[in-house]
Formats: sequence, C-alpha cells, structure tokens
Amino acid sequence: MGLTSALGVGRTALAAYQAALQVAGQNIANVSTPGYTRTRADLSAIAGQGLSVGQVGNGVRVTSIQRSISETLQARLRTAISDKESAGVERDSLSRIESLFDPLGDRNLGSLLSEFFASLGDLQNNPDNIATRGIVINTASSLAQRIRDIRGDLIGFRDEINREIETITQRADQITQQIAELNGEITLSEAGSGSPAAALRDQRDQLLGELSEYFAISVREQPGGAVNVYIGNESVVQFGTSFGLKTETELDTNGLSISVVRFKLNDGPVTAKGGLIEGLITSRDVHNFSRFDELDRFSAGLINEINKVHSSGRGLEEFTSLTGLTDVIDSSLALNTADNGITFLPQTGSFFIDVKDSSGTVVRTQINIDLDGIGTDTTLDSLAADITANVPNVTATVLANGRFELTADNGFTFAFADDTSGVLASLGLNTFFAGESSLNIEVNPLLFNNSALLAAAQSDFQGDGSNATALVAVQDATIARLAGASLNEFYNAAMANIAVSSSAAIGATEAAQVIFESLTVQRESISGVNLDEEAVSLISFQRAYEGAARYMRVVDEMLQTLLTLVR
Amino acid sequence: MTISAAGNLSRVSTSLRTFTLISQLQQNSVSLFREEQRISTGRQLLSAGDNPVSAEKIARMLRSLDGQDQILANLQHADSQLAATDVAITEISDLLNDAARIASEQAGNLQSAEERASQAIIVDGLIDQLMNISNRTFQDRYMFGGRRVDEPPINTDFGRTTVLADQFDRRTLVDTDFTLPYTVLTTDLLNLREEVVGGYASFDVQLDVNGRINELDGAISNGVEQGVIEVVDAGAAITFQVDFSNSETVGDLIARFNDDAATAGSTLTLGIHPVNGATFQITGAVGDVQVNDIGQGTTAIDLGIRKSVLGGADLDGDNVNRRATLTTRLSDLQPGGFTLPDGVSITNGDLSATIDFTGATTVQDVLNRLNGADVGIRADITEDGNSLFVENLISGTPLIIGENGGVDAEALGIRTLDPSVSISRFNNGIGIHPVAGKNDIRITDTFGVTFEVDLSSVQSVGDVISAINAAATTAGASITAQVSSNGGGLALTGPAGPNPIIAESINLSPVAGELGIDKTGTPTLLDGDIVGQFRQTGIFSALYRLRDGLLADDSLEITEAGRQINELQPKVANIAGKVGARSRDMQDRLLQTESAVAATTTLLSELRDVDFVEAVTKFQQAQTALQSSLLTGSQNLNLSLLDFLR
Repeated sequence: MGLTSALGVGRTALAAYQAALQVAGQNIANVSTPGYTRTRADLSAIAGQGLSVGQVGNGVRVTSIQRSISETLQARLRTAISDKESAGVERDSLSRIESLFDPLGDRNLGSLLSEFFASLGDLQNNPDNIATRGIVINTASSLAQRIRDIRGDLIGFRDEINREIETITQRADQITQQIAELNGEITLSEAGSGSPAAALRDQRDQLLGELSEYFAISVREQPGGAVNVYIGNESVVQFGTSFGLKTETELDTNGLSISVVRFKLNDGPVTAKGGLIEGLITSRDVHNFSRFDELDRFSAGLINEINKVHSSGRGLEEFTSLTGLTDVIDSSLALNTADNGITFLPQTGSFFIDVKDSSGTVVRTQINIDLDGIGTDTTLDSLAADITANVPNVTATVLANGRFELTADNGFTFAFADDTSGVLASLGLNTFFAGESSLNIEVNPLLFNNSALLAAAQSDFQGDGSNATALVAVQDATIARLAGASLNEFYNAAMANIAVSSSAAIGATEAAQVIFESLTVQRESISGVNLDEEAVSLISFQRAYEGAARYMRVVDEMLQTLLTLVR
Repeated sequence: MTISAAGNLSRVSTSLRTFTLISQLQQNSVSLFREEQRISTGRQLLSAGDNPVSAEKIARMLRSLDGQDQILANLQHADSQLAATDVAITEISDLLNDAARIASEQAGNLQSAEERASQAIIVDGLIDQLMNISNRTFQDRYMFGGRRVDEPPINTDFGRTTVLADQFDRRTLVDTDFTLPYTVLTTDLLNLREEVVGGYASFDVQLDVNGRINELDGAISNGVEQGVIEVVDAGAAITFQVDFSNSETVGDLIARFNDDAATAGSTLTLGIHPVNGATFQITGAVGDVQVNDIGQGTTAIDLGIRKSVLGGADLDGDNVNRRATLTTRLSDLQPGGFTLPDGVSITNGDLSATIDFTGATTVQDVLNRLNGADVGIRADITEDGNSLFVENLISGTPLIIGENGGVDAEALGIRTLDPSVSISRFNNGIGIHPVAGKNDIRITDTFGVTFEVDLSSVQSVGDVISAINAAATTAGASITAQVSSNGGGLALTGPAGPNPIIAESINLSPVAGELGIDKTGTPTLLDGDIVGQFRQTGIFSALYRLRDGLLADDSLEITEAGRQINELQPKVANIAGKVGARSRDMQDRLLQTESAVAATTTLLSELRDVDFVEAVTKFQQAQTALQSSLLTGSQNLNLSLLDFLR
C-alpha cells in the first residue's frame, strides 16, 4: 500500500463523513416537517488489497441513505387517520344536527309543541275567546314554522355535505394523480441510484396520508418502488396511472339530491369505508336523513292526528261552503288508493253532516265511507254523489283540480261530526293544518283568516271546549304512523336518538383519536427526528471528519518527508 | 385522554415531544373550556351527547313539566269557577230559607188575603233574585248555562222563567287523559230535571245495513267488540275466521262475513233476521254450524251469534239491542214498521200545539218537530236509546202531551201519563188519598153493572188501571180503564149500551175526584179530567206555586209550596256538597300537581343544573393541568444538546 493509496483512504473518509453530516443536517432541517421520515447514512469500510500480513481497507463510504420507517405502522396509521376523520366528521355533523333540534334548550321544537298543546288547553277552558283562538293559531304557526325551518336547515346541511363531498373528491382526484406521477419518479430514481428516493417517498407518504383522510385506502408497494392504491377492493392508482375520482349528482330513493363518488375511468361507484367521505355520507344518509325522516313522520303524525280531531269539530261559525285542500288525481278511484294525491288515506268509517236552517233546526245525515275492498268502494265521485243526493240543501262537487267542495243552499249552514273514517282530514276539509309533511306544514289559511272556524267544540254551543280537549289529548294518544308512539313519546325518542348518536360519535371519535395518537407516537418514535441524536451524530461525524483531515495531513507530512529525502 | 403507547417507547423524537405536548395542551384547553362553559351556563350537560340517558330524562321532564303546568292552569280555572258557584249556591240556600219561612208563616188560616198578597210581592222578589243568580256570569260567561255561555240560561219569554241552558257540563283536563266537570248546570242547580215526561216507549230498533256498529248495545249489553270470530261450518268441513276490526256499519259486518265465508269455500251467509229484524242470522248451512270467539274476544257473543246449530238449521242470533239515534229511521223503531200518522197534542200552560209528523223519516225529524213547536219543551232521546222524553222548560206550568186522535204519543213514549207513572204526580204532586180498608170508587157500566174498587194500595197509574179492570172483570162489568187520549188523565171505556158510564166516590173517599173520574160519561166513554199534568220540578216552580198560592189566598197551595220548598232545601244542600266535593277534589289535585311539579323540577335541576362546587373544583384541576403542561412542555422543549455545542 502506498502513500497515495493512504491519501485515498482519507479522501473517502472526508467524502463519507461530509455526506453523513449532510444527512444529519437534513434531519435537523426537517425536525418540524410534518410526515418527515428521518434518514440515516449507512457507512461501511471499503475493502482493500490483501497483504501478506492481512488486508488493509481502502477507506469508508456511504453505502446507502436509509429512511427510518415501518411500512406496517404507516399502513395502520393511514387506517387510523381514516377512522379518525370519519368519526370526527360524524361527530361534528351530529353536533350541528343537535344544535338544530337543541334538545336541552328552552325554546326547542318540543317546547313549541308543548306551547301549542298548552294553548289548546286554554282553548278548552275559553273556547269562545277570540284572543285565545288567536294564540292557538299563532303558537301552531310558530310550531309549523320551526318544523319547516329545521327541515330547511337539514336540507341545507345535506347540500353542504354534498358540496363538501364534491370538493374533497376533487382534491382526492388530484392526489391520486400526484401519487401516480410520484410512482413514476420514484421508480426512475431508485432504478438509477439503487437507493430509496427518500424525499420522493416522503412526498408520496404525505399524499397517501392525506388521501387516507378522505378514504380508507390500502397501499401495496410493488417491486421498483411504485405503490398501488385501493379504495375498498377497487384500485384507484396502479403504478403510474390514476383511475381518477369524480362526483355525480343523483336523486336517492327519497327523491333527495345526493353527490355520489365514482371512478372517472369506468363510472363505477366508490364504496368509501372510512375517511371523511364515509363520515360525510354517513352523516348525510344516516344521521341527517334519520332526523329528516323523524321530522317528516312527526309532522305527518301531528298534521293528520290533529286534523282528524279538528275536522270532526265545530267552530263558532258553521260553513256555507267549504273547499278541501287536497288535490285528488283521479276522482273515480277508491279513496284509499295510494299515489292518488291523498297522503293520509282514509279507512272504512262514517261521518255526519249537520245542516242547519235559518231557524236553527238541524238535520243530521250519516255518510258512510266504504273502503273494505268488498263490492264497490267509496270514491271521491261517489262521495260527492252520496252527499248531494242524501244531505238536504248541500251540494258536493269535485272541482277540476281534484278538490272536494261542499256548498249549502242559501239560508243553510253545515258542520261535521264524528268522522271515524278520517276522510275529512284526508280531503283537507275543516282541517287545522294544511300540508302533508315538514316540507309544507302550515296552519290552514282558512283559520288564519277567521279564527272563529277553529273547531273547539263538538256542538254548536259557544262554551263547548270538548273538541279542544280532544285536541289536547292528541299529544299523548298512540299513533299508528309513529309505530304506536304518541307525539310526545316520538319526540322524546327522537331527541334520545340524537343524544345517543351524538354520544356514540363522540366516543368513536375519542377512540379513533386515541388510536391515531398512539400510532402517531409510535411513528414519531421510529421516524421522527431527535435533535439530540442528530447533535450527537453531528459531533461524531465532525470528529470523524476532523480525524480524516488530520490523517490526510499526516500522510501529507509523510509524503513531504519522503520528498525531502529525494532532494 | 392519554397517549397509551407512550410508556412503551424506546426512543423519543423531538417531533414526538412536540406532538404529545400539543395534544396534551389541546386536551387541557378543551377540559378547561368545558368546565368554564358549565359554570357560565349553569348547566350540567353542554350537549345531549354528553350523557344521553340524562338528556333523554331532561327532555322528558321538560315535556312533563309543560303538561303539568297546563293541568295546573286547568285546575285553577276550574277551582275559581267552583268557588264562584259555591257563593251562588249559598245565596240560593238563603233565598230558599226566606221562602220557606214565608210559606210556614202564611200556611195557616190566620193570615189575611192582603197580608198574603204583600208576601207574594216578596216572593216575586225572591224569584227575581233567583233568576239573577241563575243568570250570573263569571269571566264574562254565564256560569250555569253549561256549554251555552253566551246567552242567559233563564229567560221569561213565555211569561215565566224558562230554561234555555245546555244539558252538558263544561269539563277540563285534570290529568293527561282525564276530564272533570267544573260547572253546575242550571237544571241541577235549581233541581229542574228530577222528572221528565216520557221515556215510556221501548223501541225494538231494527238493524239497518247503513247503521253504525257503535249503535248496538250488543247481545249482552256490553257494546260490540270488533274483533275476530271463528266459524265452524261442519257441513262443508270448513273452519274460517272473520275479522271485523275495520267494519263501521252493520252492512260492513255482513259483507265481511260473507266475503270471508265465500273465500273459505263456505256457503254460510250472514244477514239480518228477516222476521224480527233485530238480530243477525246465519243461513245456508248444510250441516252443523258453530260460531266461537277467539281467545278472550267477545265479538261473537256481542253480536249474539256465539252459539251452535245442528243439521243445517239457520243460526238465529240474539237481539243486539240497537239504540235509536238522531239518524235512525222511524221505520226501524219497531218490527214491521213504525208510523206516526196522527201526531200529538201538546199543551203547556197557555201554550198549545198539535204536532204533525207527516214527512218525518228519522228520529231527528220527530225531535225537530217537537222542539220547533215553540211550546217551551225540549224533546230528546233517552240515554238507553229506547224512547223519547220531553222536558218542560217553563217553570210551574202544567204540561200535557196527549194523542191527536191516534196513539203517536204513546208510541213515542212521551204521553204525559203512562202506567209506569207514580200516582203521586197527580194533582200537582198532591197525589190521591184512598180510605184505608174501604172501597174508594163505585163504577157503573152502560148496562147498569156496578162494582167498587179499593185503591188503597196503588202506587202507579198502572196500579189504578189494573185495580179498576180487575174489579170490573170480577163484577162482570163491561168497563176498561186506560190512560185518556189527552194524556193527562184516565178514561173508562165500554161497549155501546143504554146508559152512561158513571164513576162516583164512596165511603167519603176523595179518590174519584182526585183521579178526575168523579163524573158521568157517555155509554162508551167516561173521559176523566186532566189531573196528571206534568210540572217542572225545582225551585222556580215551588216559588211560583207559593206566589200563586199567596195571591189566590189558597192555604192548601201555600202549604204544598212550603212542602216543596222544604223538600228542595236538602237537595240544594246536596248540590252545595257536590260543588264542595268537586272543589275539594280540584284543590287536592292542585296540591298534588304542584307537588309533582316541585318534585319534577327538583329532579330536573339535579340532572340539568351544574353542581358548582364540583364544577369549580374541576375547573381548578383543569387549570392546574394546563399550567403543568405549559410549564413542563416549555422546559422540556428548551432542553437540547445543541445548547452545549460551542
């Protein structure tokens, strides 16, 4: 081994430790970079020539710069991120839904419902009082308004969720494109250098981490360094190709607008099993829709049950003519035919029409509604014909728009009583509420214009509050439409559902957060930069570098000494 | 929340320190914020999700409190009305005491006509006072008008006080599903409805396919449960069930049975019995038939068809006791049809009318004709739906409802006198006074056959008629006693003959006169005087009787009026007692509800309101934890080997 070779040993050392110092410097520089994976310079001795006494090496070199990372842990962390984001968005959604209903508040839907029934309670005691009647109508109007507002807020929230799904999907689409591009760069880089392209991989890991915020993904690294990315069982990135993600606006089975995530390549649906998208879809299709559905069922129950009682009662005035609020599509079909414009289907039963003349003499006529499916069932046309033929001095007509109209002859008035069929409520005759659901619930405009038509009585006495009493009882009456629950019970159960869902979401979020933090801690333990470690490395590599330099000087001095001998 | 893996680490990176510190600070901040919110809002729960069980209870209690508040308002409303009623009743009681004193003082024979006339003026004043009390308002509504709150319950349109009040109390909810009356009706207040005219018919109402099922009292008078029955058609070896739960009318019942039978392959047919018209009948059997209820159901027995028949016989059900209602057809009131061809005659004091039922087809038509006659009466259907009845709305006037040449009044059950009427009603409540142990009347028929009748044990009009007819039969006389067609007395009839029918008193008995038959008739008819007029009972009638007795200087009438007043006093006391009991009930409920509200409020507070001691303590803990995190974090992050590199 010559002195020139000895200089070569020093040269390799200077180069190796300079590189190692750079690695440490890179680590220190990225100590606060999110997702950064610390790197490590692997040094190894360069094998030398064999001498008779043994082998002397040719110095040191950096064999590779390794990333300190556990791919298994990274995969678990991505899953944890998906779960955390999914749970978090559900929690936030439920929190917002809870704020709409405000179950613990003093001015929520339940308190408005109570106020409405309380006003009816006052009405039973003061049925002839116009002010009390006005209060009933106004509290009912407030209740209806609140129901419509909540529905509007829920719909608005759905729209926001849809927009968020669209925005996130656009970003996810960009990410998959970037991952596909990075796959190509990493493959190219690592094929040339033989070492991991740490920075590019860090970038890709960052993108995979972000993508896992949106979807639960699985990642499979391929030989050559590329990764294939899957959402569920469907591949979204393969090597250098992204299949792309997009959203389409569709109508769900309830006719509500939804944004659906699809693959750009084949229009196939994306089944999100985690991440923000799943959380948003669950928020929209489960939490939001459940509340929406409950609000609709509650509204329908309120409308129909109140209307059924109200339509059998009497106000301070009787009718000279009355037009129903329901547009029947085909008046020749049985009244309980579905999808014929009648939301609240009547049943077999009967009601009375009391016709009063100017002297106060009343003639009561029983009208039967036959809907048992045996023989000929009652249609709107047959009902009109029956009334016209049998009720003296009253004519019933089916209008062109499918509404039912009753008209008394001059000098006569009419009122209804004891409808066991529900047909009056079905046709919107003498009803308290108009509408069918939370979409359009409102107080019957007739009552708004004339509170004397509010049916507090079951007789024509001004002090009769018996129908108001019956209306009050609606709040605790079992309702088939609400699975046998009363309005109060259904409302309480709905609020309990909100509370339980919210609590479960909080619990799930906390659990997901704990897992995420635990895995993050593990990841940071493995991949995170420790400044003290890097400082030690700096000192170590600096000293090694200084040693190599000193060695070079010694060899140089030896060379000088040797050259002096030659002179 | 803590980071669970932290204890198993072998290496701590700088970013890990930063991450854990940030996490810890966030947790500390959240905890601090929550406690701050709890303290500032005073609420234990910040969201329903904090504690779903408590949240559900809170929501339920809030609804419960709202309901209880309404019940409280109802009870207070009712109690205030009852308190005002109590005052009125006390005044009526005082007024009656005054009337009773006058009657007592004037009943003897020592008072002059002038003195009695002056006392009559005082009684007139009492009548005015009573009318004022009866027409008293509370919160701008007539207190005693029932549901008719906008018109005075008493007026004097017919010259005397006439009742216009409603017949039903006003009620209020005193529990979630329970109402109680809180008014006293004029009729109860003044004891006006102790007796009515009529209710004497016993309609056998025929089934009508359009009639409602709820008009049927059922074969065991328990209504009709609309459930499922089982029919065993042994002839066809078929058993099938029929579900009546969605039926409304008798026609629906029949259609449902026949449809289900045909579907099952049975030839059985349900219909209305063609002869009696008041029961169901199953026909078409080719073998034994048995109808059963299922489980604890009572549908078959209610419909009168839970029975079995053998060998193809028709199964005749039991009478399902349909009640007459306003819409019941007159033709359905009895088997074979029901007609009212002649009308009825009504006299009420100076008012009279002949009611023609021509063109009437329903019970309501009949009632409208009666009520529209403008003779101070109110006609209605009896509670059991088997007859009509009539109230005399005018105080003190004699009401007579009789025939107009036929038997319509009797058929409707509203003729003033009926065999079931107590004889004590005769002669304005004086009744008759038979001689003990001796015969009271001698009657001679057209052929000169004479018999005597002992009426000492009779209680009712029917007893009188029976006693006369039995004595006639024993004597072989051709005499039949009955209620006179005018409805207000008795009549003796017989075949055509040579002599008039004669009835006369014997043994110094006043009964013949008291029965209105102490007279000579024609050979075929002795039409008795009207002695069974119906007068409205009650305080007004008694006061009018007293006044009229005083004006007429009639000691007997004054005495009778005094007796009536004395009989009314405990009844008024009884009403006062009922009002007191109701008021007490309301107050008890008020106290109970207030206690319930207090208990619910307390419970609600425990669930909803924050425990400030606990909250402040937790706030302090959170604050301390945050301070600790800040301190340790800042110190740890400042430690670095780099600081020692020079």
